[in-house]
Amino acid sequence: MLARVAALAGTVVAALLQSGCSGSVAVEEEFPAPLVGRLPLRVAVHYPAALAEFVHREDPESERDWTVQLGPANVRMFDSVFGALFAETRRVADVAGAAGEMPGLDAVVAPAVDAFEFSLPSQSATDQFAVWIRYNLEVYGPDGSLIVKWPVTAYGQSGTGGLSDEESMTRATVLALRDAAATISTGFARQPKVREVLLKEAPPDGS
Amino acid sequence: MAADNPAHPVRFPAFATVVVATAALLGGCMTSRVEESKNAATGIGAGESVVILATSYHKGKAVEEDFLSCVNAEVQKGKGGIAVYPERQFTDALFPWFEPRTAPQTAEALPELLSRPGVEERIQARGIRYIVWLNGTTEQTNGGGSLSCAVGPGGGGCFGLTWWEDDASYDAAVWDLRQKADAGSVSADVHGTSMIPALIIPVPLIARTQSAACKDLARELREFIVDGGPAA
Repeated sequence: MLARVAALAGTVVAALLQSGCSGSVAVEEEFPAPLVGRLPLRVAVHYPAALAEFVHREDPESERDWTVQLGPANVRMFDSVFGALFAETRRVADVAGAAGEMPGLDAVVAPAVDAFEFSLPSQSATDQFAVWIRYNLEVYGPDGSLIVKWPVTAYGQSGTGGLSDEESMTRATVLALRDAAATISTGFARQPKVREVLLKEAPPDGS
Repeated sequence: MAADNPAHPVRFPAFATVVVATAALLGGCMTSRVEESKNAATGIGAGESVVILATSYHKGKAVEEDFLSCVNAEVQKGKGGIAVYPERQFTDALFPWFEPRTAPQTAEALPELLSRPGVEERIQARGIRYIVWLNGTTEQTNGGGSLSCAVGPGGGGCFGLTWWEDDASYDAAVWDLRQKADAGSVSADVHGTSMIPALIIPVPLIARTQSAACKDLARELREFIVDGGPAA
């Protein structure tokens, strides 16, 4: 009986220690549709598996290990942005076959996560969790030729006041995703190659 | 000590309860200064509201979440309360124009922002008259003393004195969305000294500077918006 109680206590203590040594973030957030002018473009969207299933695992020295599941949130964020930004969108299986899946398209966009980093309050000597995400937004023509590869850097931070570590990390991640959405929705039409090739605008004087 | 006396086994806990209750009623000492600067006449009509936002963290240290929540609650509280439109619903409805990176830096940027497709219409549909931008933090500025505690077979206790000073400094810039202009600002600075003297039992005397700054700022903000101020 005593041995059973000891084993049970050991299991509980081990579980408590394990839960205290790892942090897990799964972003469940929905992203609002950007309030921006819609571009007159028919665009195919390709999400590589590395983006749609993106998971970041990190074990900072002397800290608990962290797992950030970003994949589904990436897809929801880009769906929201592209759905508001373009006149028509359609998800396609790959870039090369996009023209066959969406006849008459103007472009194919394929976002990818280039880097994901975070910093913990103990690392920055502040009370802030911070998250950086760098995306590469590749835009192809109907023939599959690369028009532009646009690096988009996003940042989010969240204080710890009244929140658990997981909640703060989740909030910082959500803010970074919203930052990416804001940058893309307000900046896509300002990309020189997008203006020149897709929107058929004359380059401004001096450029 | 009292625990050694078998005739009065409950005296020590009762004494402790009284000390803790007294400490809870007392607080550290605080000084506060509230100021306002008005650029234009204000006022708020029935059905109109304000939205209270934290200044972007790209402009410096971010306002604490709990301070933002406190001001939101205090501004709405009581008879003279003002309707506050929920921050998250506002930023979602106006996404992406009030994100930390894209939010207007000055009131001069308001006309351009409001001219973007759908922006002014969504603000008007929600009856939002003012945007209030909160800025500031509470920081510990000084401290000292020492306090040590020990526990032994016969009981435990603490001895010593520790103290620290907090400075809660916040300001709120008020933008009038109808006039598309900066209406002015209010600020609250609260300085407080907290201490924990201990003679067996530690007695925390805490100066709640952030809470005081929240109440001061919210009260001043209500008056700033409701009172007409200088003639238009």
